[in-house]
Amino acid sequence: MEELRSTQVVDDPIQRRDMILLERAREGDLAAFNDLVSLYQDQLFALVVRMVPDRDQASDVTQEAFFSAYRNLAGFRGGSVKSWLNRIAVNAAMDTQRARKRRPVQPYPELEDDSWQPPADEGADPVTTALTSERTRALNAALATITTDQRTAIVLFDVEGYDYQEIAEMTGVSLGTVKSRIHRGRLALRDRLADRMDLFRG
Amino acid sequence: MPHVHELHEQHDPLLVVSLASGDFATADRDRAIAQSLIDSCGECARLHDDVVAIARSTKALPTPPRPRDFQLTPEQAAGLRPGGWRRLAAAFSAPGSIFSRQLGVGLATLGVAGLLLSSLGSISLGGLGGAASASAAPGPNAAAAPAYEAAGSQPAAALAPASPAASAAAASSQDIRTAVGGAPATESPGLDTSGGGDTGVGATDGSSGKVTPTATPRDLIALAPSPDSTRAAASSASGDGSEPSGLVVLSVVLLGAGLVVLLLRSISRRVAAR
Repeated sequence: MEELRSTQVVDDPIQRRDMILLERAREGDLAAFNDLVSLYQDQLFALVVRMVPDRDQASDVTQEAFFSAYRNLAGFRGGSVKSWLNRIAVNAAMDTQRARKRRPVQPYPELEDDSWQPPADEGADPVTTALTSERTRALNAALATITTDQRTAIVLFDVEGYDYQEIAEMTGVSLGTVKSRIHRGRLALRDRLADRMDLFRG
Repeated sequence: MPHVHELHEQHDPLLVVSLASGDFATADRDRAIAQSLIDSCGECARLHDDVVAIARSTKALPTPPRPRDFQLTPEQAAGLRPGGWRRLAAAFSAPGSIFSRQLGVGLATLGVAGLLLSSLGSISLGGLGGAASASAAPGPNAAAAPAYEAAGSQPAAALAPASPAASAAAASSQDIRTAVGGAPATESPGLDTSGGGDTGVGATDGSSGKVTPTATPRDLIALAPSPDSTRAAASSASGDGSEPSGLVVLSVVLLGAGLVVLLLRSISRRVAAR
């Protein structure tokens, strides 16, 4: 039954490609698994780094998520490989955040890292570039101060584009809880950015 | 248009945020309320616009560059590949394995149901069991017989019931003979009220019904309920025949098996996920 579900024909070419790679990886083909890593490592790191704002930790979490995926190849139950990987990464990131909460460290020194800023466009107006850079910095700082649950929900909804139901399944909470976290998180962001809203308006 | 309180502090900001998030269906009543808040309250309108602007900026956040390549080396893969216990654990915890959750829950449920059934049976049979032990004393009497013989009783005393009360009632072999007399063998002397209420340890004068302490200490020791007779009495008092106890044993086995399956599954999952 499980075999049938995981090998059934998928219409989406991306999903079909992922399924072929996953099946080969299950059979012990490391190159096939590394192809999956290559396809999704940027996206997975971008997701994790917004949930775990410490870049070194985010890097470790992303690596651990791929380790976990490799260990649990047999546990894949069909569906989207991307969603499966995201779920593993979200869980790993949330575990790290919970551990971080237990032993707080200096909050997010990486916010001073210039690599967080978008690459400057050669032809862009310097004022616009500076404004965008400042807005990104302020938003990242505000995101880092709301609760982990709220940040996770907002990142998954706004940045990753998942809907409420998918986030609920990914994080293991009810639909209402997901909505509540997103709404309260947005209110919290607005409170923290109240003095900087001129960066966002217009 | 819904009534809107004049003070902004009385307005529900979450309604405004919900509207900004596009959560409401067109015909939703809350949507009308939120819309009226935005239309009539400047603060709420600003909140709505700010939330929309923040959400737009969040979507447009630049993706930070990945610091390294996360591909697995052959050495890492070899270390991660489940082997030995982990492979076994993965097989146990895999969907459709014999250690499935449904099997464990099913077995445990059957066990609990069986235990409940047997305990209900013992409650309903409890009274009957007591009455049965009082009116009829089967097998266990054989175990009590030597004690009576040691006390110098007649073979008739061997028919005395095994329950403690009945055993005590049989303290005097003479008295038992009097009480039993020509009565049917199944009739309990302990409950025989026709013989002058001879339920005590002392002997009863057959004619007057007066109790006289004729039993010697040796008699009392010999006639004290033996472990066998006590067990038999307990068994009969709880209404446990051979069938109910079989049900209890089966239920306990099922419950245990179910719990073991669930435990093994849980351990397997943890080992496999490590």
